[in-house]
Amino acid sequence: MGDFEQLVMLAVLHAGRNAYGARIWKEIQDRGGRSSSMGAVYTTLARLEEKGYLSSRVGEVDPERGGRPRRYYEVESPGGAALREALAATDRMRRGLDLGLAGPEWAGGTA
Amino acid sequence: MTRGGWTPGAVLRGLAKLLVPARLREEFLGDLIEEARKRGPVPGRLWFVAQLAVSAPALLRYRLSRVVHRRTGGVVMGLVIALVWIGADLVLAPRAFWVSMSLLVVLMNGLAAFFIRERTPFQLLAAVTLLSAVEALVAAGFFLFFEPARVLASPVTWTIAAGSFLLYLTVWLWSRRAHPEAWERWRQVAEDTGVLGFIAFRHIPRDLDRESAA
Repeated sequence: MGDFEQLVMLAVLHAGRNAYGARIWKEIQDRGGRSSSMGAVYTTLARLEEKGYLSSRVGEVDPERGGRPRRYYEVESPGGAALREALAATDRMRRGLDLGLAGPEWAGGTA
Repeated sequence: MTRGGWTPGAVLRGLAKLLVPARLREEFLGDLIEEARKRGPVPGRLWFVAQLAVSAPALLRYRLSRVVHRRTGGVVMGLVIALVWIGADLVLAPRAFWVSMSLLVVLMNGLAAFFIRERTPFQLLAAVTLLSAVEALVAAGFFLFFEPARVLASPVTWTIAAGSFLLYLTVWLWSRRAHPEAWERWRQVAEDTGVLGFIAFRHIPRDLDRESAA
């Protein structure tokens, strides 16, 4: 699972029952501090759904959205397992290392 | 708004249709509209256009990847096999008839793969193309060494023809069982356009379909 896919999965979990495209996009911006296009979020959601990591359902039509519905996403158990494994791998790699990333020479980088 | 004119709204709708896959289009545009409205009329419109523009690379990449996986892959595979096949045809028996047969079969396979929007069973495409190639090569080989009249009169020719018929039948029947949805769409394309009748459906008796419907 890629870096951005992990962010999207975490954003879906944070958004809970209200996890639709724009909300997930805002979660990634607000919590993750990462600027991305809505198109990138949507295509990642579609890929994760194709992998069986997410499922989606179409919600009600909303006049505020030009009469268009929302699509709500939910994490499925294979997705949860894959996310847990990806996060655990990062933790294992980090464990026991003094990364020394607190210095000023690392400040301002967005990676 | 001028009817049929190039208004900004019409251009944006066209752009969105081009970029966003149909399955996600309504929800994606709904999200953009919802977020744009929060920003007020003029900034909202600018934000909408800017967001569509920055989204374009990701959306295009996604659309292209789907095209490659679901459609063009089949055509490319058909063409690669065809090149080998046509080359062999030309070496063994430089007869325009056989080359045109090869091209026709490849065109039919490619068209079917292109029109079927579901995941195409590529194994089936490869198998049919390969079987057609073997059939054409064997026939071309016979015509190279023997008189056409003797070839047509020979029991070997008819044994090979019957064998290839059985092989086609097996492959197509297997495909119907293994990929029922793709099969249905494939058949629909064949019925609508008549392009596939040549290679496979001439081999399958109509009553087989009637049996499965019953």
